[in-house]
Amino acid sequence: MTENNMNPLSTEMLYPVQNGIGNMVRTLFPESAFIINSLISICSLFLLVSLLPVFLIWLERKVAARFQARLGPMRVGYHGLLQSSADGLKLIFKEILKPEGADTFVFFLAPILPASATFLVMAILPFDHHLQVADPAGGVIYVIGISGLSILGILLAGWASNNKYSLLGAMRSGAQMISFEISLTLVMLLIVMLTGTASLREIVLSQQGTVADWWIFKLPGLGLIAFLMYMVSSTAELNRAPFDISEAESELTGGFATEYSGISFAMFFFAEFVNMFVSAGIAATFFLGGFLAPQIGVAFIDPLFAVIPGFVWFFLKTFFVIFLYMWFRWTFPRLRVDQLMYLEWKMLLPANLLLLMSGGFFMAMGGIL
Amino acid sequence: MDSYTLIGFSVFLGAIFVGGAISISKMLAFHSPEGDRKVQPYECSEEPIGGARIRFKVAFYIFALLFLLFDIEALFLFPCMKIFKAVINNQVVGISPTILFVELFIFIFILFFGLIYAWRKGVLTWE
Amino acid sequence: MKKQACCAYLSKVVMGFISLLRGMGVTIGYFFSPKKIVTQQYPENRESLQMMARFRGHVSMPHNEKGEHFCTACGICEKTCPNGTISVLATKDLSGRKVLGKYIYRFSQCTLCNLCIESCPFGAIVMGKDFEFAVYDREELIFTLNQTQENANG
Repeated sequence: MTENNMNPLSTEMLYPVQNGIGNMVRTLFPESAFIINSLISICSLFLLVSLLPVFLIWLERKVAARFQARLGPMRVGYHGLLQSSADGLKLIFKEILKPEGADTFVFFLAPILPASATFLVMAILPFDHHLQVADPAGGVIYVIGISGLSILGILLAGWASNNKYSLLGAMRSGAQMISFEISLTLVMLLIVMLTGTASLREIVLSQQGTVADWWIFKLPGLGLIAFLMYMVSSTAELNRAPFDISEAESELTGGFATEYSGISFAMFFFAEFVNMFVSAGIAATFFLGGFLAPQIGVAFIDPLFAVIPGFVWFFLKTFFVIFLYMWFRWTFPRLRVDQLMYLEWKMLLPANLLLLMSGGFFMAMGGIL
Repeated sequence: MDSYTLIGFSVFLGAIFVGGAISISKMLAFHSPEGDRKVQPYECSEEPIGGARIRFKVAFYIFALLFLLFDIEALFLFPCMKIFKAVINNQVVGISPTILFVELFIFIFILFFGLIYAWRKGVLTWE
Repeated sequence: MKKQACCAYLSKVVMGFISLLRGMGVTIGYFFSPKKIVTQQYPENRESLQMMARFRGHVSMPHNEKGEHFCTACGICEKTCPNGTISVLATKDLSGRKVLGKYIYRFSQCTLCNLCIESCPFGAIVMGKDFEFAVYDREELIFTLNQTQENANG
């Protein structure tokens, strides 16, 4: 899908599939190759992020149905594939109401912020060795900063709708998201400590080798605990069940998005679904080896795995983590808001600090890495 | 700096995407007749009583403060984490691994102690 | 912090985690068993569709191979019905005994409450399993449930 080469300074010829378009552009237009390649990468990013929610919403509905012993959408298109497009089209034809007394500029700005945050983090996900729109050296800190933008969007949405319940829902949701962002930050810092670098591409490349070199399996048990903490924190960041107190249907009317109708309502949930993909992508990058093929050590399977291009592995691992998110959603009941806060401040945060100290301790003891 | 220039263009992608969708909707959607009832804030089909910007609990403020503290702590930890591996493997001249390790422990311990203090003081309870 | 509080806290964490895993095991069992799916694709499965035994479709009067039914026109069902859906029209046969002439059942006002079937002492009426009764004219929903030589329909 995103078949282009971002970095014009490298002359890597080893990956013909990924570098195909980039090399072609560079031979045809040597002077403006950088601009054209950048334009191609931005356009393909836009295309990916536009098509992803359509597929992800369909996937969510089918997976949810299978967990509940039913079938899901079957009528619209083959096995319901066109269902989410039909829903999106319907929403476009609905009127967007602005409630009286609402702050117009902020009201219409609020859905843009989570969507921008999605595009911004998608831009640095390493889909393959050379399929990244950009690779800043402080990638981890960048990710942590951008996730604050989504929180801001929700708070603004609650404030701008002239509605008490929206405001309360947005405040509670904001409190939940900022609490779990600390856990998220500390888990990512653990990975930075283990890897010695904050660039996402380097973090993936530090997991080269066999499957046992992935960070989830290193540091006896600690990698797994860190992965689980990441899953819990990112589920709470995404406002997904079991932490979806802000968008639960029967609590506080509609939460922060009560006054939004039609497509601007859909934009919040588009941002949530694509953010789910982004969080899963980051989990795959940090813990599951990103775009590296799993080398098991068996003689005739390894070359077969290595031939499959990296972005296929990246998508497979990301969709595995997305399946885990959906599994969590359809198994656990919703947490009350005080149970949420208890979980974060009294369980996850001390555990995170202990995890950091243990990680440092293991590294100092000659690295059981 | 190239990386950040490219990312800068991605900022506008979000605005284009959402702005485009909302504009298309405004052009295509059916407008029901204007009226008082249409734009009233929704309160489960009752008349809204009072203004919307109400006072809310001080617990929100306390959690925001705590978040700020721990986020700044994470920010301070970041450079330490980045050089930790190199220093521990004795690859950096001038920084002794034991001193870095002990300093890291002391920093995290002080913050851990702060968390325990807040816990015992009862500010971490929501209700 | 007391040691007991610490132990209680840690055991709560561990037991909680194990209970989460058990819940996840249940759901993944449902995911991987297509046999447990309860949805039926309705218009395509008309041949093989079997409604549940307690399903209440409409009142019907079963007849055996010779066309005989068990109704004796006692009228208990007509008195039990809460809104007068049933009308039992009795006639006298050749030897002067009361037999059933016409059993009128107005389906458009039946509430499917099952009282008539529970009160029939002879088991003459049962609940049928059909549910496709959409009509354009409400007069078509007045059924005559007993079969005779004249009205050879149910």
